[in-house]
Amino acid sequence: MKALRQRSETQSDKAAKKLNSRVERKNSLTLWLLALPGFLFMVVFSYLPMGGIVIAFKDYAPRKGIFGSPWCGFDNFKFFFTSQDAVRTIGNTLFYSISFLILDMLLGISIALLLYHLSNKVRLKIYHSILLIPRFLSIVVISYIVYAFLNPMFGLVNQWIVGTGGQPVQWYSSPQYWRTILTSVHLWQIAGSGCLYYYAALVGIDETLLEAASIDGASAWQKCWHIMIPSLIPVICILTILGIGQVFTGDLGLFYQVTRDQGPLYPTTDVINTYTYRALLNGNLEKSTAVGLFQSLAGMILVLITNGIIRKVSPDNSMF
Amino acid sequence: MNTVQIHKKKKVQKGQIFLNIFFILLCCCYVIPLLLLVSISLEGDTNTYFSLIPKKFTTLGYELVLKNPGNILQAYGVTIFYSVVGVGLSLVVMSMLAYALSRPTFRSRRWINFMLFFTTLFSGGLVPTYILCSSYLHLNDTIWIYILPPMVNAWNVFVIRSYFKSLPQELFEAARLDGASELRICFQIVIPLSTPVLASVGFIRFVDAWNGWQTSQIYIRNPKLYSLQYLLKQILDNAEYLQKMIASGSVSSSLQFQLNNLETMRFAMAIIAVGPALLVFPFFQKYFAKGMVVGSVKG
Repeated sequence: MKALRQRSETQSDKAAKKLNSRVERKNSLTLWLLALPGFLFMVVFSYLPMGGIVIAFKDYAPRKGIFGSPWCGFDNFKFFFTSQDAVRTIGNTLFYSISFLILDMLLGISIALLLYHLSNKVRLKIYHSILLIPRFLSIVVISYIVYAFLNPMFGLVNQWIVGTGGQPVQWYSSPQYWRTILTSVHLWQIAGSGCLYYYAALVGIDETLLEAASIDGASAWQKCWHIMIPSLIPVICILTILGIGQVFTGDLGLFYQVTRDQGPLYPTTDVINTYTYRALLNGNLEKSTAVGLFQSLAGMILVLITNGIIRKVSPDNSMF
Repeated sequence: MNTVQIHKKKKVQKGQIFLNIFFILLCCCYVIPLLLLVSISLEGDTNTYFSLIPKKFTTLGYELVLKNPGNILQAYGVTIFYSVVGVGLSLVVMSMLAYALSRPTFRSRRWINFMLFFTTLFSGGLVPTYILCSSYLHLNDTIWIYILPPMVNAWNVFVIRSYFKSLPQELFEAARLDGASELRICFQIVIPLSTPVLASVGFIRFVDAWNGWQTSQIYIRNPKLYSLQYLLKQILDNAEYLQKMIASGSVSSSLQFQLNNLETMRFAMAIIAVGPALLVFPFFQKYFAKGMVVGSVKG
């Protein structure tokens, strides 16, 4: 009798385990079902294009398709890297990316610190809402605004120049001014959204730390330098890693749309992104792919290197 | 209160005044350009410079644009449709994926996570995507080109997933013991509890979809499927497009198109295209600030 009960117990145990594993298998299947649509979209729109990279090594003819077109080795890369365009676009891209990376950080941190020191919270909200406006404007509208300032006939800037007795400037055919113009437009655009990361980190500082510092007689500058800035380091690290990954990319809208794609401005405004974009619109698919591949690979390598360095120096601040 | 404290308080107040002046000046840099847009769209004097206050007030620009509102309405319709449907579908698909990835029992989560993360490091680029969408999937010149390719964004999935993980897990265990399936837990417990993060991600995606112009330029040849921003870009870039738009409408002789009015009309068009969104978006700003969480991506 006892033995029988034991047997039946182990049997029910087994049955329970079997049921459990069946439930688990069913659940795991349901989870796959939930993940499947997203997984498929990722595979189709992110991984299939990676296969298309072979076009970079082919003399692509749309009629023959990707697989029918003949191979051409590194000709497409050679074509780009031996051309004048390579020096110009890579130089411009690096110039803008690196200066944006540094300026964005300085501007973001200073605006975040200034906002943090405002004692009136209602005003803080109003100011910040206004600074955020450009985040909701498309780059097309921003290019309208720039156009209103720089229109050679009616523009505000030429109006001031003429008013003070100067000669009007043909802005859209004078490349020497555009580094300043594009940098200003970019900073104007990101001031409000760029400070958000830093501001969030500042709000997260333990209040008691600041109070203790005040009691010990720390001045506002000292608190800034010894408490607030160090608390921003994790954000700075993450944003640097992400930013460095984009060093070869650049904001297409800014360089294509705000300059209105004017040929005379290319010496100072043409970046890799605008170059590949134009190549695509003009049907130079294989060249555009080759440059895009270079861009993507270089970006990935830079992210891995930066992340590696940060992980060595302070493991907590690395991204992965 | 001793004199040191009073002195300190005065110093603090002085600092606040300085801060406020700084921010007011900074805000002027943002408000003035917008006023300039409005002012130019109302300028009646065709021989004058752009200015902050119109010299001769007119609504002619708006009348001309609204005489033939077909293109604008069409672009509005297209943009609203793909933004709403696209972002809605995307949120559903991404939440489902994020839920599966947030479950420790889901064995495949590690490599799917890695695959997702890899897409943020490396991509096939513009052209392979273009060839895939146009030659193989035939999405060009359809509304789906706006909706399908950007459906899954790895960063968004990570943000949603980390929010799901932060929810009290006991809740799900209880539901699981009561025999609720993963499907029910996902749709009836987790997603309803996660409206804050979904609203944030959704809002940011909506703004970006609304402001898109590239997709139209690359894939769309049929003017009926232009997005709003691309229509605006066309009007800025070529005067002929605007002229054609006006000429095709039944324009009365008194409102005959003049080259001088070109600028006024361009900017009237810009205001019509931007105005409504700009009035609505600021009310959702709090979602915006919340959605930009980079730190939560880690892990």
